[in-house]
Amino acid sequence: MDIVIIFLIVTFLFLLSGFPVAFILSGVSLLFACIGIIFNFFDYSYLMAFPARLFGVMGNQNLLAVPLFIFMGLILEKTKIAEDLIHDMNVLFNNSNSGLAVSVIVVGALMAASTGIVGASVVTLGLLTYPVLTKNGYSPSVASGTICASGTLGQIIPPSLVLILLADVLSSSYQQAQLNMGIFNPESITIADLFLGAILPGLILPILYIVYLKSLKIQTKNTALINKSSKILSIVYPLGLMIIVLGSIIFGIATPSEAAGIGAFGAIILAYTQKNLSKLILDKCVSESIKLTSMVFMILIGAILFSLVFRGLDGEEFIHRFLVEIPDDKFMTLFIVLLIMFFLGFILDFIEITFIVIPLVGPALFALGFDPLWIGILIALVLQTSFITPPFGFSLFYLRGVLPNDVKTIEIYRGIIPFLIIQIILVIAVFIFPNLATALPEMLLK
Amino acid sequence: MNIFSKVSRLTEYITIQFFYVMFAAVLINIFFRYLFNINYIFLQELVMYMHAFIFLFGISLCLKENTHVRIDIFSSKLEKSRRNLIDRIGLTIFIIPFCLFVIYESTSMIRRSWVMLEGSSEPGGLPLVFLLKSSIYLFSFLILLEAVNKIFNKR
Repeated sequence: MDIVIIFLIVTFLFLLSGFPVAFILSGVSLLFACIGIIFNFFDYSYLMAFPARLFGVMGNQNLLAVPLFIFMGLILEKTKIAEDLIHDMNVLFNNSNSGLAVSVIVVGALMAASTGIVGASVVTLGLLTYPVLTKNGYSPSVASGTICASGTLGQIIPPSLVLILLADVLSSSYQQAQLNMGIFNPESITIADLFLGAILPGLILPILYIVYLKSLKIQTKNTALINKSSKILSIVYPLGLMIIVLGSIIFGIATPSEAAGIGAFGAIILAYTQKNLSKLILDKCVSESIKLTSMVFMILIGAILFSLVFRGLDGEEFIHRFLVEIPDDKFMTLFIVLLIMFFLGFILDFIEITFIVIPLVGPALFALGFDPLWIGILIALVLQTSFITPPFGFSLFYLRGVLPNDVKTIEIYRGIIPFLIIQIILVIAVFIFPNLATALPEMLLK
Repeated sequence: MNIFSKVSRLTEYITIQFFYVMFAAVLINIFFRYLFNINYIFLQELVMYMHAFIFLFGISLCLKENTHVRIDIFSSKLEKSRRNLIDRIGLTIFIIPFCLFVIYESTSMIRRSWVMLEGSSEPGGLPLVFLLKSSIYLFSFLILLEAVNKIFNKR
């Protein structure tokens, strides 16, 4: 058996120990490197690339957007702008029977857009909206299904943090693939490309969710009519902010980090004019942004060491054999990769999978001629599906933790099934019609 | 307050200030670029420096406050003493060797940078690349310190 298989299995087992993922990646890699050097199956020179790679991360222009992006999202969340949005939208859509769920979906998209950690957004959304939903006539299973689905939705709807990370990793493995093929002025894929590609699937998904919820004909309790025009403004501002951020990236007006800066600035202004934004809350948002950013980067640093050792153990050759030589056509290869990611989604979050798995399988996939943009959107959709698949989906797991104990786990599972079906339909649709992902970027950018 | 918590307090304070500097630099940069069409390379590099310092130093803070992502499907069912033991073992066999490796392996890069007092590769950039590279030392040192603290601290 290949050493590299043992390496993968051992890493996997250690991951389950519950020790932080980032340090398992770096630690197990070094451990294997050490054993490898002693028993002569690993060449130390592979590790010598580490400082330069780390320095490359420090100067990476795409990743510069990460802290300000997170900051923008945290301000919207911590100053309760996001929470108010739910209430205000509820008032606005009062007469329609699924208004509340619609607002949960919109807010879920807005929040997860900037933190990108499934657990965090599902927990916040669950605490915030579950009581409101059940009070208004939603059954526990429909309510929990809506929350789980909305909590992961933000990942595919641009501008989202995970799409930024995905774009960066995809573009470097795409360039790697082209260099391997002897193309010395490789094409690249940008954050704007991926954002544009995600727009269509990111619109279709919530629309289908809403259609499903409408079909349930839930009777919500009517509350007294409140002045609606003031409510409209409080919805327009945060959504407008997102559109400005997204638009300036897509049309190349601002770099992603500048757009994130503008977004954060806008969020502060919003919070300052509508709420009491104190220095204390601001400092809290900054401090939390720093920690979330560091967490993301430590995973990246761990993944760098992991991929160096993986390469040193002939991992690339292993991947090539496993993905290119064994399957008889290239779509089979893609299917296997997506299936692996689906199962990894049960234990790893989007960020980890992006940093760990894509650099390993990406070059092999792109060498087969797949469009990196299409692959990126497919990966994002498949991971989202994985996060809401019972019984292991992240989203369900975290929601279980914040719901009252009288809600049965089976009710959560039952509630998510319709959303899961919608999700699977969209994955298949994008698989069969790549245009769903690639048409918009080609039209606008090429 | 012991030395460990003093260091992490200071780290937290400094990274927060760096964050504000980075945020301000981004906004000032936008202001000059779009209104006056002036591009200050040093401002862009300031953003990059601050960003690197923030995430490099922030990692030790995450370690202190246990905010690094874990897969706790199984471990959340264990007793607290068991989880502490796993943490101590992990800190010893994974984190400490990692820090030592980073310090050892980046030394030659940092030394070379200091010898020539390496500056920016762009005209008008900050002449402080040697400091930027040296922050890798501080990054691993801060994690090392926090790891030692966590191993020997009673919980």
